[in-house]
Amino acid sequence: MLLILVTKESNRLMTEKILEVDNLTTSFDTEEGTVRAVNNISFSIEEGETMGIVGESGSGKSVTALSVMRLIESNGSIENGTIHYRGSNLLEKTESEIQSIRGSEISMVFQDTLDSLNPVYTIGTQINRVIRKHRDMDNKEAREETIRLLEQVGIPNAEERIDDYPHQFSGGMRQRALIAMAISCNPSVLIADEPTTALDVTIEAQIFEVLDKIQHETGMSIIVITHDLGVVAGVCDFVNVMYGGEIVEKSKTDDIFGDPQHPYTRGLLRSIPRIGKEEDRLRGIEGNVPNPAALPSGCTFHPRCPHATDECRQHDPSLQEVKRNHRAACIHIDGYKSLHKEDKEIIINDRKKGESDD
Amino acid sequence: MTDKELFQVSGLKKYFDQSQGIIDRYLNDTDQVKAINGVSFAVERGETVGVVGESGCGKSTLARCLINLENPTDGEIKYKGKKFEKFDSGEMDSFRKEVQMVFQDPASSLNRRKTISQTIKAPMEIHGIYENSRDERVRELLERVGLSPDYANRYPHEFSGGQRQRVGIARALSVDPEVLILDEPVSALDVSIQAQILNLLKDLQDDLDLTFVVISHDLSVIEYMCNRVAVMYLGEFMEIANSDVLFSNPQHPYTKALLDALPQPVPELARKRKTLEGNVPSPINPPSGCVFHTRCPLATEECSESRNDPELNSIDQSDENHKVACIHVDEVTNDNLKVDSNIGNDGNYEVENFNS
Repeated sequence: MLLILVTKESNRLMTEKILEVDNLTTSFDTEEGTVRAVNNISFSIEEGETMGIVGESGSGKSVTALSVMRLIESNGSIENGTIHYRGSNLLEKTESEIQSIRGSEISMVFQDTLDSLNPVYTIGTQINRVIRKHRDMDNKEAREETIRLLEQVGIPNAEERIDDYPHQFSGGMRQRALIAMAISCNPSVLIADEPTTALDVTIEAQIFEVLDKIQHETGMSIIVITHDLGVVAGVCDFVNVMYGGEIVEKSKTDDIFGDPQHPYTRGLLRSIPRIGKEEDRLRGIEGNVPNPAALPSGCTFHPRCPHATDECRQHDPSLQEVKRNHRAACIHIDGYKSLHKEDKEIIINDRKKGESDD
Repeated sequence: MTDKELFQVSGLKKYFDQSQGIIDRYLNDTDQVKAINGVSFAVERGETVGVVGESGCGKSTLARCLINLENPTDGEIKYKGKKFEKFDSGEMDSFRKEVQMVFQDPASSLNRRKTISQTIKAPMEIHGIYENSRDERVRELLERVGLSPDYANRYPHEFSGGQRQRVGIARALSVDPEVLILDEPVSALDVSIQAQILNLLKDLQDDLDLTFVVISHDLSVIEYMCNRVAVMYLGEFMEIANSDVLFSNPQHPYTKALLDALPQPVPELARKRKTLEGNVPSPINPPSGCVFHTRCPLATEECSESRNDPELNSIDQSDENHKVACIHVDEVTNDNLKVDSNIGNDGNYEVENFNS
């Protein structure tokens, strides 16, 4: 009896986290050598949550999404880590098993709507095809379902527009159609990679309103990948900040924006001019975004960090809890040193080594 | 007309013929894209004028008209009190030297087969200036825009996006211009790099007494850079005002909608983002009357009547710089726009508090 209770309990705990990524490392073979685009990152998402991954170009945010979808190109590979979806590791699945999950259980919306849609098929045909691959419907049922989906994402006259080609839709409409396609099989997780970057602000607000509505109706989890801190502030429950292939800070949205800990997050927030605030100068971040093929040693942010010391150049800090539910990877944060003896020992050892080298 | 005015634009229109099949052209049945449809404003010496709007509103065409890359369909542009058409060749040369442009995409606006030194020298060669000191001048300009002079003989692909934009700025500065037209100067750059370029532009303006016209879709960039801002929609100005007034007391429903839709990096504000319904109509066949009426929350039947296309009018006698094109302007209340910089974290972190 007790055993049954225990299993039930553990089942319940198992299902809470929809997607769990642990120590994911993805690298690519390029002309410049092996590029570690994503380096040992972990995150998880629960049902109905919206998680943000924010970072600049080359931070590894898109590769993270493609790794979860198992869509890494042939010159790349997932070196290490696990990706558990509802308790089973996606990295151990065969290609055909993955195909039945991809697009149906976990689906994705991309930035460039023209590249994501086939120009020679109508919008309806393309959504139809996804529905018929994953759901048991005949052509007529699938067409009705497609019309319902297009209405759901707010396309007017869906019955007529279903036979339009992608070029007959505006950018915002195409993104709506792609969202319709992505939600056509009731996915548990929707990954939106820069879904509104190519769109105007007023259209961007419309798209997030649609996503929010669908999330309320279906309870799906959403991962938003973006460079835009304003988008993250508006739609995410919690945020991962990525830099140089690593997550450097993660917390609830309000804490990231209200009390950022990592010098990179702070610098990023200072880089954005604020409406209604007199500013003479923006106190942003010095230097350039690092090339993923030539990442700096130690903490990847140290060449641009105002607080960098020798320790930072040698020692790559791991994410540590600096406040409740708020983790950051920087040895210069107050809570960090006292909490984490291991790191301290490494630093001390490094120091000793440095001294003896001299 | 004062000496201070560099540009005087009045009733500017620019229509493009939609390229169509030969039969349509034969039958003279071509559609026209009304990119700019009656715009008037002035740019004074030393100020920064911003033009903000969504894609397709005509803001880039306006920039191209200002540097005389497009011939207006109607209306006129005067530079230093003289119409473009009346320029003799000497005046045209000095106009081309005094007004320079910085483009959005630094990758495609630099010639990849030329070293950046060659690129920066080209305008000096065309205008025949700095004849004996061009190499020296290139080094000086590179330093001025924050690049090492040692980079002079490198090619554009050896630079990052932000560095390329610095090269584009150095090229524009090479002939000692008075006016820089900046078309989306930072929108292709990463956030942390945007701030560096914006700071650089402000420094250059202070040091070199430059006049800026900034074209952007990004309201926060416009607010940071500009003294005066025009809000453009479907080829027309909806509102023009001093920057502080426009952002604290917007009057046109479209300006308000843009500000409401702006995703600010402050969760309390960003979650209250409001949505403007509908899409931007086609500039081939813009709505009758007020072009914004199809999306406007205040629109009445009056607004759609073609005789009611509202002109820009001053709304406050004490502030003649603030003009709005809306017949309902009194009804626009300010209650739903509250930008309070005290909400959330304003991004000012004291370095002293940050223990190292």
